[in-house]
Amino acid sequence: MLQGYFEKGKGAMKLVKTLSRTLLVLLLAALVLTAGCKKAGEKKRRIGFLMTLDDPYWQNMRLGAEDEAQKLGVEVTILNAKEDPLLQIEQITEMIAGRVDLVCLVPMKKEPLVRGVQMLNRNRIPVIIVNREIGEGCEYVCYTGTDSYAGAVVSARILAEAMGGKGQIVEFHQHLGTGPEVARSQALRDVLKDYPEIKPVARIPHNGERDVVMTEMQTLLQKYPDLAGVYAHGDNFAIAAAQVCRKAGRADIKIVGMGGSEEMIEAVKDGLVTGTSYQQPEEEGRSAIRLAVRHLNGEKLKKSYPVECPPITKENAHQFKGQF
Amino acid sequence: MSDKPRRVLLAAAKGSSFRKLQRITILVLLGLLCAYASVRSPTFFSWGNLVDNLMTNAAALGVIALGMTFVMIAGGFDLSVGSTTVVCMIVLVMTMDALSGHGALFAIFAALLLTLLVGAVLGAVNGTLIAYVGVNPFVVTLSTMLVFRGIALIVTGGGQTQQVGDLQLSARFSRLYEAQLPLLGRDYQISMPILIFAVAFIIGLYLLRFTRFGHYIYAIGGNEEAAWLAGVNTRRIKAATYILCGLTCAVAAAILVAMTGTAGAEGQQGRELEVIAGVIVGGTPLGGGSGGLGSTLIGLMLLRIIVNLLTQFNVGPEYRPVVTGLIILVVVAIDVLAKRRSQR
Repeated sequence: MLQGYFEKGKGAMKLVKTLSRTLLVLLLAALVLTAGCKKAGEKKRRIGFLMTLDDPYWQNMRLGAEDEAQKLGVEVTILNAKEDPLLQIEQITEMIAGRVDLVCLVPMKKEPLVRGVQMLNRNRIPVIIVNREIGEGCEYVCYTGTDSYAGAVVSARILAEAMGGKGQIVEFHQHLGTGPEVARSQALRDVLKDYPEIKPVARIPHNGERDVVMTEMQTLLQKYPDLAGVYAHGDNFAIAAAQVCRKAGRADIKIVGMGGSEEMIEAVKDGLVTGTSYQQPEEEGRSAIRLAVRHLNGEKLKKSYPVECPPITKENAHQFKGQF
Repeated sequence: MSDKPRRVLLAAAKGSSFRKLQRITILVLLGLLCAYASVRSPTFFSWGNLVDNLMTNAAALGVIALGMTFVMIAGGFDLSVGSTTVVCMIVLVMTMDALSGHGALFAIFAALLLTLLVGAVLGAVNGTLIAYVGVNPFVVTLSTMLVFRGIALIVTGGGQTQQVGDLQLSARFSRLYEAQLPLLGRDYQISMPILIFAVAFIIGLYLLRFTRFGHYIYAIGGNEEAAWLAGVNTRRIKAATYILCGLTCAVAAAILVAMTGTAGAEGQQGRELEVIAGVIVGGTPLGGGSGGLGSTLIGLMLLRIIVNLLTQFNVGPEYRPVVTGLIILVVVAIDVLAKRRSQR
């Protein structure tokens, strides 16, 4: 039938031309996109860096990793799992199929990724765990990063101290059900055991949107006139909540975030926000790549290389420089 | 003799050749991409990459895409598949965990049955609201997408990971993902998810091509009123397509649970769009009435191969959505152009 069609004349030829042109453009686009990539011929070591890129925090970890990889002469492939553990396992199988030399993994979630790491174990690809914890039952070379839980405990303590150990607080969750979210909620609950007079009155989830936090905060201020504290999973949302409080004349409310972004450090200096804990994504990315190269060079490594996570308050904020 | 019938016939013949042309375009595109990839990246054209990685990972989504194709041929739309899958995963893990004392086989089968039932019920909720109440499918499934996700969060206590406590049972169930079948010899094994997809594909093909139900689905997508006037119970058929879609979500949930051994309320977000994109790229139009399972398979593989290629070539994560989006646009644009020409 197709052949009969071609004989029919101009119309068909035109369409075929359009089609072939589209194909050509596509191929060219593919060529241009891949032209920048390194040649396959050189025997560079290849490292897969499986993470998420949902937040400036991760972008900076990525920059650190890429920069360090360039310095040390290794190739790094960054993949974004968008907080989805199943997608991340798929990406692990892609890494296995692509035969990378080592995988740096930010586990999107503690337990589901155990299977993924087991797959890497079976294929003898070494794994370095970065930033978040992994569940039991799998092998990895070492861990490096700032612990979300430890950082959150630091922030929760700043909040509890600033509130004088009593009052109502609200908690802003980011990405319900993900590793850091669970860890940060747990951290708050654990710290509050020492401060029985602090009452959590509301828990508000959001998916990383400042505007959602702002509207919710306005509602909360109406509903809880005695509100004394805000515990936000992330600096951006602490700032968003603080702006609403300041506008509503409630600058007395104590607010903490976690992360230590440039914007946040300014906000702490300014007194807009009470405090935060200082995480260093760029350093985490660098540390992971450095450890990867050391392992590939046959060096024996320790099991854990924590990156420090100190508290930031108005008193010491001038000493810090945000990494994201 | 009037030449009107002759013209109609000619137009019909033209239409089908354009359809073929579109399919051929996609196949040629696939072929070119693969050829280019195997030259540039030594690891692309290997069994480990194409079968163990690419096809195995596409299987769960592929099964959902089969159900989605039924819905879309009938002119419908389902945004809730991601959430439905997540609910099914949680039900599967929780029932397996609860029944783990009663023997592994019983626990697995009972849990699978219950999961299929839940998938069908969730599909029926969509189907009833759309076919019998008459609310727009976009609105219904957008709402149920949120509601089902919320249910998943509530059941898991805010997104706590659910696990099967009995490790032996969990390991047994994971065979559904990890088992390799040496159908083509020891070096060329086929994984369980691919087999599950193949079975689902054959059942789907039978339903769509060789039963009255399948023909009615095309009829409804082509012209619902005409189908109704011809005596087809259009409401029941439409509702049935959503139930089928829910069932495929349950099957996909089984594969995904076997993959990780856990279930949580997160994840699978945005997957509904990937499924819909695959179906559309394959050639089933948004309005329904034509298309098929084979085209869906091709469409989904095209998208998957592109994602795989981007990894193989180490393309930065920010370029990925752009490339995928452009490919969808180009393929669908060709489809629209072809159709417009064939209607002239």
